[in-house]
Amino acid sequence: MKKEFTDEEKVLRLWDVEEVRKVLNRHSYYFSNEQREEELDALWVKEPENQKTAAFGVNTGYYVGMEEIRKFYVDYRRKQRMEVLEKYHEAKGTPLDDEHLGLGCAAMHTATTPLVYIAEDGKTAQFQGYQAGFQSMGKPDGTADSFMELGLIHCDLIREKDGWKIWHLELERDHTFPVGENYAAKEADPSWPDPLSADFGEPTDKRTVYDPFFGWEYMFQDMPRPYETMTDERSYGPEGNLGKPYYIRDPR
Amino acid sequence: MGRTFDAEELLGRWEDQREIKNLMGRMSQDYTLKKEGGMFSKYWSSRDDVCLGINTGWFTGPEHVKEYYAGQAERIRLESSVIAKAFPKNFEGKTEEELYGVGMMTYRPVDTPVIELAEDGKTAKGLWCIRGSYSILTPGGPQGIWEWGWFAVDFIREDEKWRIWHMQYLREIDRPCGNQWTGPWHTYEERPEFAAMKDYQEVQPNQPCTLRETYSAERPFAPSPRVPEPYGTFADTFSYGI
Repeated sequence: MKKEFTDEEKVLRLWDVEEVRKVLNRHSYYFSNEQREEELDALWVKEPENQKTAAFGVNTGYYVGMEEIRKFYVDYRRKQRMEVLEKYHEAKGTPLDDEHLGLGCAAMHTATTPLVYIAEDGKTAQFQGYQAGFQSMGKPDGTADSFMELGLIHCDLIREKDGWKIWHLELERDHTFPVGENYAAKEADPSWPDPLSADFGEPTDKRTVYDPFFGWEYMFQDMPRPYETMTDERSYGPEGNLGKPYYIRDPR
Repeated sequence: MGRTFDAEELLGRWEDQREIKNLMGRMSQDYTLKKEGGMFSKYWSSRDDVCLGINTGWFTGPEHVKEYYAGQAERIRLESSVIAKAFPKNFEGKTEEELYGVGMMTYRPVDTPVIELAEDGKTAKGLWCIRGSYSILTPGGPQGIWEWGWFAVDFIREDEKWRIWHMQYLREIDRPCGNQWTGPWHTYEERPEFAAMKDYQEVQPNQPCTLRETYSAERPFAPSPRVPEPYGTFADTFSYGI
């Protein structure tokens, strides 16, 4: 049964929706600015029980628990960025240090088209958005590998003492395409391999969280909807249904 | 940030945020409608210390900010007249007003807002991503440009309305569509019907500086403008102005 809220409760829930959107938008800036460690400290869950069940999902699986998330989101990314810098180092002697990390690189990640619901019990929230962004990795010869990226964002947030925190975040890559290349001239490849699939790393819980070839099969079912309380089934974390096609969730 | 607001106050602050979002949404639409010429009076504060920062420097004070927008309008007028002359059959009998903005397309949508309203309710700060495209008329003809960047804005409440006080409009990617984002800028061979664009000069900032280099493979990593943080009064936070 749908719960009735007082006017005051409605205002507080309205404000909660704004705050949830802001958390995801802040994530987008931290993510783009490579301030990943700062993001984990500022926006993600802090309470020990929530830290254990926190999850970061990519197309190929989940990183579970803040320790695993940090290893992937911060350490693995640093390794990727260092590999770009190494090319400058080899060609031009650019020092391999923090000051030069990110030379020739740029990224923008956005969080558009937000859909947000606050649980009736007010303890959790669910967010879905769409990410239209780009990444560019420079090369010492002055050229760059530049890609536009499109993908879904799903997020469960949980209310902690100091506000809404990211609990489960899934960045599901739909499509990555190189900048300045002629699409029509490309050979058709139904598997459409993601040229930036190295970004997914090696998830600790490997499974299909998102297969862009069948994206339409889960889009409808995974949209946030009004809900009373968080359940495993509803969760965007590893205990939930992300990545399962409709004919597995609801056999006919 | 320490103050707690009751429900009535929160509702007022929610409405303030909505007005600020609407202001930015309207400004974005005005680019599409080629209404740059009216933006200063419509959106900006009447204060003497307004300023606009673009990649190549600052326009400081109302007169210089107005000059920036007047320059944008002048370019639209010139491009319109050059296009109309190049394709006389299409535009026969049209007035200058009817032709204003013809053949141009600017989409400067804004998303991913982070808005912080001061606890005292007198000012606000916001950061938005821009993910758009625009066209310019070059001596070789019309050219489409990908644009990625940010609007970073300080707002001030003036006569019960939110107005722009300081704004940084910064481009990160500003490159011709269909081309790589590095290397020489792609140009088309000059054509006599568009030769008038050769002598066109953009209005330059009165305080030129490199506020932001656009992306290149030689540029050190450059994060977005600083993201707004909760604050009490404007004196407690940073400014997007000069």
